[in-house]
Amino acid sequence: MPKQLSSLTNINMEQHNQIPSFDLSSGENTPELRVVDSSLGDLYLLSFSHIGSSHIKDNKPNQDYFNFQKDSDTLFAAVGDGLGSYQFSDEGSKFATKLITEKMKEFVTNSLTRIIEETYGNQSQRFNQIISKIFGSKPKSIKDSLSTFNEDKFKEIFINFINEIRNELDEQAKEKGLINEERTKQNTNENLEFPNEETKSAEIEYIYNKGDFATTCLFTMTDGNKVFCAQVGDGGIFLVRQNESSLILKPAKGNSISETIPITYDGWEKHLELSIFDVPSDALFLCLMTDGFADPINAPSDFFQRVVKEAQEKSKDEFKLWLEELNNHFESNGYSDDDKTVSFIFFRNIFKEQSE
Amino acid sequence: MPIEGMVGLKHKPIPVIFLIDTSYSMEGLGIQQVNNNMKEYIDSLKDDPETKDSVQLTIITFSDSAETVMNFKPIGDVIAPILKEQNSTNLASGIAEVMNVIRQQADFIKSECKRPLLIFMSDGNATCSESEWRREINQMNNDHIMSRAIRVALGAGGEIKDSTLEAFILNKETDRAARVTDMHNLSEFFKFLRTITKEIAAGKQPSRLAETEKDDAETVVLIDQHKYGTT
Repeated sequence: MPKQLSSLTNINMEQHNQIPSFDLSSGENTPELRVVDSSLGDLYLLSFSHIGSSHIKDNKPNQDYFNFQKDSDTLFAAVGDGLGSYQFSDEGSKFATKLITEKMKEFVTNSLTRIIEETYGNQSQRFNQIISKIFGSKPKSIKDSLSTFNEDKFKEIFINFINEIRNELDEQAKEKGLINEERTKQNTNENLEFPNEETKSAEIEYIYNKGDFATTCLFTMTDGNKVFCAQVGDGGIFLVRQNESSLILKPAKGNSISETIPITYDGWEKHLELSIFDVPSDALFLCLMTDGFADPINAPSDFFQRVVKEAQEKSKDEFKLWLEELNNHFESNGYSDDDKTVSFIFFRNIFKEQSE
Repeated sequence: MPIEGMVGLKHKPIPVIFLIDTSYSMEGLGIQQVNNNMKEYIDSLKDDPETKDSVQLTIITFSDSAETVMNFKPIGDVIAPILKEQNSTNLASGIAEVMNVIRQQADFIKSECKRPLLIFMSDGNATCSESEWRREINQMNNDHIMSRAIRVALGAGGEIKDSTLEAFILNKETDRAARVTDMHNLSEFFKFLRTITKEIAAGKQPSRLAETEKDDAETVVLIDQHKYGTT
């Protein structure tokens, strides 16, 4: 058993939203290799990200990121693939996956609060009594709040949040001084009938470029009963069932080879793909992948049947090690030398019991 | 432990596009060497596990006009063609035909393929006007797909100008122009093509073409090697 990953289990993401970064030689997370897992009721999230050999060779960082949040019964997960040719795309994918999961979680949680307040009033004592009475000690959120969500509502919220993230990336670009364009802005005093040179002033207006943070964004939230998915750019979100697996959303490709649509592209909304569905009874897991893993998969049912078999024959820790072998398989057989990231959300436990 | 028997995965296709001069000057040994080496190249790719499922071969010839001899054919289905020489060297029509084929396959290339490999081979100077073929090259350089192609330009013998071969170079990191001193040495060049095709299939950065010698005589000469860096 390779030892590098053996101590990567149970990294606690709940205390802080930053992806932890550790020394690889200690067997813990590094910027090159990140593995995180977390459970929520029957749901189990496992995320794995490995730098691609082409990025090691070019002295580039792992530009993929994943992040997640959890509510009392809902998982919010995202993966992002920073576009290789952009200077700060690794920061873009880290930032976008962190913010979209946080914003969606906050919205869903607040939606429940609003529903209860609108129904019962907002007196705090009364409010707490109602929560305890209705939900017991642990308030449930998504089962109630998601009932108010339809595709239009989900789309509206997702677009709003991505636009907020784009604005924040603009601010970051400004902080880094990433000037895309200089424009001379002429200020003319319109009150003067005959403006002369002295009344005109010229100032330079700087247009800052968030494009250097270019990243894709794949997002999902689920309580195990209902799934909401959104995707901007390439990669793939797969639903894996007992006997078949399928790509849920169509990845957006750009105008040329290896190009895609990042959230920093002004026309990104036209390329937004969404899907909402009830979890089928034979569903095993959802799988969000960046293109390093997703692109070579041409027969999802065959590919994921093998993944399911490996999961069923292995403990969670052994399966994490197998993911590293899968990464190596993609590299050594020429399927992809790109960064490779996957986030699984298992709807039920299919792993072998952990051996002592 | 390496994973064995993984299924459901597919290598991205690699479009390999030959643009070959079949003008009268290629008569005899020239066209014979091209045919022999092309057959060996095709057979080796068909046998190689890393290329047999991924290479899609296109062969375009140009003389009086251009002809698409083979259009994005999976290498496993390819039977090596026997090319025949004709008359003039209408380079402009050859480049234009490359772009016709690329446009027809654009959606497939963009969504499915790795960067194409373009190989230009000629032994003489264009008989069409320079402005005409340069206009076609400019269009190719501005194309989303072909601007990202890995390009290798080969001159056979001493007649073809360096500037014609250099015109195919766009990305100095990956593209190469070279000359074989005579047609007997074409096999050295095809060895290099086999190597880089395999490397591209394996997802690796393609090697750089190196100058070679046999019996103290140069067989493959890089054009302006200092400009492109050392090998």
